[in-house]
Amino acid sequence: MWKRKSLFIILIILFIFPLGFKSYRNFLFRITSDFFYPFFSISHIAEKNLEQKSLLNESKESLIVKIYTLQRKNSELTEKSNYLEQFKKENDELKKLLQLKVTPDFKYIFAEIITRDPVEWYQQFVINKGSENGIQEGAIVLGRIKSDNNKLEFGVIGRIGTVSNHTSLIYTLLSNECNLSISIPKNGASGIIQGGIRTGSNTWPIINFLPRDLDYKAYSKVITSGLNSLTPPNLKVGNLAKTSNNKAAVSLYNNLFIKAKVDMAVNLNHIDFVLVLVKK
Amino acid sequence: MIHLAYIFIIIFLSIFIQVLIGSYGVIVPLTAISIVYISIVYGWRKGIISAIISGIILDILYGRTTFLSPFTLVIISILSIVWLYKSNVEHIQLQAIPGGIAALIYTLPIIAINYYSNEHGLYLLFTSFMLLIISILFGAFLLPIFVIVLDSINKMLRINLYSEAQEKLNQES
Repeated sequence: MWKRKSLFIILIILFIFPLGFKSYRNFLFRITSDFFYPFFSISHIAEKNLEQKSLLNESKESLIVKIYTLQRKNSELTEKSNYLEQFKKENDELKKLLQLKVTPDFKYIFAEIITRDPVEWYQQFVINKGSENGIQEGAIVLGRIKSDNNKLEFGVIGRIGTVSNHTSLIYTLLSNECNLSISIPKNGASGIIQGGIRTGSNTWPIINFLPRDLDYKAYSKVITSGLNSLTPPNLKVGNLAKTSNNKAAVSLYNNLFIKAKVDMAVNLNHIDFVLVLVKK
Repeated sequence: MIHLAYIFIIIFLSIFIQVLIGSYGVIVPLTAISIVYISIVYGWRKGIISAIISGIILDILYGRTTFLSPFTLVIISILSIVWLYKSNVEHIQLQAIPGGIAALIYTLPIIAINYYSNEHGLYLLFTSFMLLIISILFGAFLLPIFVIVLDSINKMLRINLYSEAQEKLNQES
């Protein structure tokens, strides 16, 4: 009897103890999320089907108008994309001639959020695309910026943490698991976003290691520096936050470097879909 | 063997529904409720094993790095046995009490850790408190319903009933 009981306790300890190791947690995430994936995606499939069915309620005339407008927009965007592609090639060739590092090409993968923790709402969530769709660990994730003029703009949300076959775990800029190198073009400062804080309904990623001898102004644009090969440069992250007296929310840390709060460009409360930037 | 399959289905469905509803920002402690049910109907051993496994799965699915759920669910499983010995499991309405307590034990630690890891303020305190209250209300409301629904299925399948667990315990002793 005692033998059975001790065996039972040992088995439990053996199952729980390795949870302290990240690789074991990642292994469990891959297994469980792939197992649950078909069930969680049911609601998304139903939603998509409903959307498609709702199109049947529209008149033929309005659908024709929509198709024409989309075709026009599509050809405009293709033309713009070709034009930019030429610039990219030219830029790469010039960089090669000057023996500078060429910025790698990225492809965009559209994904939807399938699960989100109500407690760690701002720190992490899971999307419905995984390694089968080409998602890589550490890839940058973008979300739509809410703009007044209905313009489609995207800002950085975070990074891909763990990837399973069909799902990926995203750590946002507010999570301690996500590090992102950034720069502030206004004064040329560079730093690293390492986690964030939440006060009331506001959330702020924190930039560490900013040089202390520079002047920091509120609302200064914060962009990615592109030091990491998985992160393209010049992606919008947000602006330097302001204090109550309209100064930049910065503080000197240990007399060594400046810490600053960032107002994120993307509202983490209003994200339905994300774009994952994967290196080609 | 049929018991294991049955426990698996209960745990699977409760985790699935809890995570699905959780994605809308609400904590519905269905897994905690199912652990109370399993512990009372099938005993503490199956209850604790189910608690550990379902707790780990829950935290893994949410991508959490602190694994609190297995511990809170084990506590819930142990307290369910205490409830079985010390109180009454025949009255359905009375099961709202262990339901509410299970929800409180499950939700309070994760909310407290989240509260202290952020800069606390009135707004965060209010939202955390609301999450906790909603979770307790769901727990108190769901356990009696869980007992009614699962006991009626158990009756058809001729499996042990929650409402007869105390009677069975007395017969065994």
